[in-house]
Amino acid sequence: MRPGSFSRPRLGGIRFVNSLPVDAGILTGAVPSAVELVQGTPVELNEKIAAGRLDLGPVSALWYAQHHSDLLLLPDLSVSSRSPVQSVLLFSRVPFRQLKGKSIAFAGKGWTTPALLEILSHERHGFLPRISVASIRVGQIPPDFDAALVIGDEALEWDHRIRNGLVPSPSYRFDLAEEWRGWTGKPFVFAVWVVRRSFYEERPEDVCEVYEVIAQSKEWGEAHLPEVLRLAEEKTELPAAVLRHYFETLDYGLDDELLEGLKLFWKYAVAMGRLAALPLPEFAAVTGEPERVIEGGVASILKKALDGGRLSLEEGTRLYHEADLHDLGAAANALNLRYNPESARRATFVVDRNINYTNTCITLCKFCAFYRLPGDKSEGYLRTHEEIFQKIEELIAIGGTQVLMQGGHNPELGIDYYEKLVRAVHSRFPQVHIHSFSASEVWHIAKTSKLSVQEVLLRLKAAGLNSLPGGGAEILVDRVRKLVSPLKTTAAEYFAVHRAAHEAGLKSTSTMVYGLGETIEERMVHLDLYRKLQDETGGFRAFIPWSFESESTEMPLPRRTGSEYLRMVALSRLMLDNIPHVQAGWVTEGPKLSQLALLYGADDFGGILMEENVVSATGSDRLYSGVTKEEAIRLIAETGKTPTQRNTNYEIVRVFSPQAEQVLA
Amino acid sequence: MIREFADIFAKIRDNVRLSGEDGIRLIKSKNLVELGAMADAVKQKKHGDRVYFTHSINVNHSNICVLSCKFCAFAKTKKDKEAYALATDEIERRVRVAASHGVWEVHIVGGLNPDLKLSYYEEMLGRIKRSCPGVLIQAFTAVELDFYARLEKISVEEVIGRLVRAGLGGVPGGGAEIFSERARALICAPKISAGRWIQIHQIVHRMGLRSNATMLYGHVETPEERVDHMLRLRRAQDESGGFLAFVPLAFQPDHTGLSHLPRTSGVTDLQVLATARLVLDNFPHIRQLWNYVDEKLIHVALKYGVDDLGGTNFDETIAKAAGSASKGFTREELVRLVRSCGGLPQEVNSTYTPIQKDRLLAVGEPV
Repeated sequence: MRPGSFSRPRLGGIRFVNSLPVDAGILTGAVPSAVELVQGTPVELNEKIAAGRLDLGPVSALWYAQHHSDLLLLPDLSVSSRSPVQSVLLFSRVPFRQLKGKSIAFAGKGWTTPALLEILSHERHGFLPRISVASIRVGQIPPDFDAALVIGDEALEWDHRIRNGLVPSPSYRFDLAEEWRGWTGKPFVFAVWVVRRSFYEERPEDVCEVYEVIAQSKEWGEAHLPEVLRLAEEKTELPAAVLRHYFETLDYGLDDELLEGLKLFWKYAVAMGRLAALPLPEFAAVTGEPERVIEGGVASILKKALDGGRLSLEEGTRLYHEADLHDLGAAANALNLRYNPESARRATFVVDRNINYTNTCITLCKFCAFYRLPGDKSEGYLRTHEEIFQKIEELIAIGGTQVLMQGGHNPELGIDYYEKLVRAVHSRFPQVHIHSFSASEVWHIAKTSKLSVQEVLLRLKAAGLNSLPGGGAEILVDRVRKLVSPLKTTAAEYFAVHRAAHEAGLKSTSTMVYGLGETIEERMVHLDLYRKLQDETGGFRAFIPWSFESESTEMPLPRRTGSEYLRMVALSRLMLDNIPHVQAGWVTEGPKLSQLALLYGADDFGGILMEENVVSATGSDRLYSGVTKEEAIRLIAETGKTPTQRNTNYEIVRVFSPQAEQVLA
Repeated sequence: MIREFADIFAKIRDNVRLSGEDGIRLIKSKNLVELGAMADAVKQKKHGDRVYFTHSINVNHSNICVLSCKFCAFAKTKKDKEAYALATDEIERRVRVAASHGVWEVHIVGGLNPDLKLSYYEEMLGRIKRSCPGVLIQAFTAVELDFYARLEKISVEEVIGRLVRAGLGGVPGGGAEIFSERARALICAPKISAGRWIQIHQIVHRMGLRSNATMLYGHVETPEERVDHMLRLRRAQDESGGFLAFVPLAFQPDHTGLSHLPRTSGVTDLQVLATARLVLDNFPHIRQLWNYVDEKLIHVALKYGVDDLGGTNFDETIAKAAGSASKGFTREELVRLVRSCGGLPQEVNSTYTPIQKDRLLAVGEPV
């Protein structure tokens, strides 16, 4: 901070103990700073920020939404609860539903809480609560009222006194955060930290510095719980055990899950007329180099992409969260037409067959239901050459051109096995394109045979390998890979294989399996890594996103929605400005969605995958038995495009009549 | 972003009614992002982020039917081994079990069974109403009401009057199929005519009940005939005003007389939904039943004008086994589905009266 040139930034702090874990470092002087910390109730802080008497600080979650055009959020700071919060309580003489028409007392110190009570009453019990401001003595519902809404330290103390028999226990007690969680499944955000937009624009460096102080103070609080508890005990006379438990239930960050809870609360506030419109949360850029807020919002990001600009990770993330699905689709379609002008009248597909030569694998990925361990005599298998030839003959019989051999990481199989396999297939079926072995298989071969990745690829290429599929990418961020597939190739290893393949003259495809517990930022990092390698090698032909299907795997995660799939297809097209094709995929999304992908930025229907075993092994009954060549042709025709069979090199094999469209009469 | 349909979008914004030609342009369009954007804008204006559903039980009292519609895999003749007709005490029992699981809505439709008299239906409704007075009974398609009238040789007004006195609360939209005489002759020749179907609904409306209207698509009908169906409903609604939801039903070819036809595609489903939302300006609700299309398409449908996902079709046998439906949705799963798409789930009964019950709500425990 430049002393003398400006007044000291004025930072707010909530007077309740709930934000002590954030503020204690500053209050005790453990984190030295030149800020002035002004404490107050949430409502007082709201008013001071509005009046310009504070520059930064926590405000009520609803109040921020009502004034968001004048404010910016500070990242990773909030007072939130993922479970019972214990400090937002409704004490009542009667059951919740009987509060209809009754008076509820509220001391008026918060802004978000009454709105939360209003939403819960209206949405779950069908009445609007009558909330009046009244002074409330801890432990006593005021005589003229049937219930009291209490927040902060007073709520904690009330509970504590009931537990110790110091005040009579009212008939009913409702923890509103718990009610919200039980009803929506989402956490609740009570307060967020903000900076006045005008202050940020004048003094971004100072904001960064104060943010750093808050962040350090929060870190100090996490590391020095006993000191924080001591401060809290002084303020409230509550025992340390109660306070400790309280702090443990609160969350002071602001991750995607909390933001989702916040947005849902705002949505209800809009539905209830408490809020004019849903705000788009805008964050001040306070870490790293100070920079200005992204100007103009989603429309300008889309325009930038359409003007040929490369989108940043932040811009991609923002589009994911904020852009309307149809706007994304329109922009992605326009870009697709630029990269693939023929897609105005046609969509391509490939007739291929998946051959899983072995299911024996030692990589133990948590998301996989396909593999069997070495030694599994009953279900483990290794296909003979004859079996494989038979399958390829069936493929050729229906006019297929591509064989996709992929298998487990079988410790018995080295370069000799693969070389023989590829050579045998190539010499017997020279017309078939061998698009086989994902990066992790190549890595595995190199390891078991003690060869370099380059040597493996050159030998397989010499034997007849044409190109590499993009499988095994999942999410190319090691944090996620460590969680879901710790024994599989790292992101760097995955890219090393693809780089080596491109250098050896082998083209490859790129993929993503989203919904593995990654953040949206991590999805963007994934796309960006592909984009960077593609800048150097130009070896990726296509990108294929699909969602994780979790049934029968060790990772029961929520199923991703069809609208998110279209969003990801469109975003891939927008972010990947140097990969020629985006493919739809029916295996996890179904024929209806893969068809729609062709209208949301994809130019290619992908393969019909005559024999898909890996995803099918999840046994999910929400999956689809398969898409035949005839179905692919019909689905494409119904999009108004000419179904066009291609080979792996995107050369046209056969054009089908556009009149293949479903005969209606 | 609306370019191709700028003229139609201008009409929508100015509250000008779309013409049949507009409807045909829309339903044939492959410009789905524009269809979706317009339908979503209208849906947002009417309902915001709300998505309605009912927690309901489906009762099919009999599968014996004198008709043999080509698209139907349910009907049986009396002699068939699988033919059945449920006793009214069994129906009452099923509803009571469902009601104890929080179901507030009973949906009853069945075949045209010549052995069941109107008194059977009166008894059925009466029993349900006596043991579960709070539930709303939406029952008997126009086709069934017409059949009862002919069977009893009384007017359809009298049939409806007697059923209402017994407890009928609303009429479902089934049996409309497709109004086009050409297509109707191909798939369900012996069924009541389009005119009769509409007439019965208008009688229902005049007698103070609300109803819905379905459209079966994806069989032998043309896109023009789909729009024609919507226009006939729009005219009828102008006159009697009692329709609440338009419910397009994607034809399910398996085990029917038309099993050679493919299932509808995503493009067709969305064309129908978006066009319905834009053309049917006097229908408050556009409903996509979750059991007619893939789950992932439902997510997308919520961005194409749909504000209603229909009933949960509570299955007491599944509830008894304490498992969840392997296909289909429990109440909680439906709520989760709506939320995962950014919608605000609102449980209603079929007259769109919100249902609030604290049993859903993890009631606060007494201290």
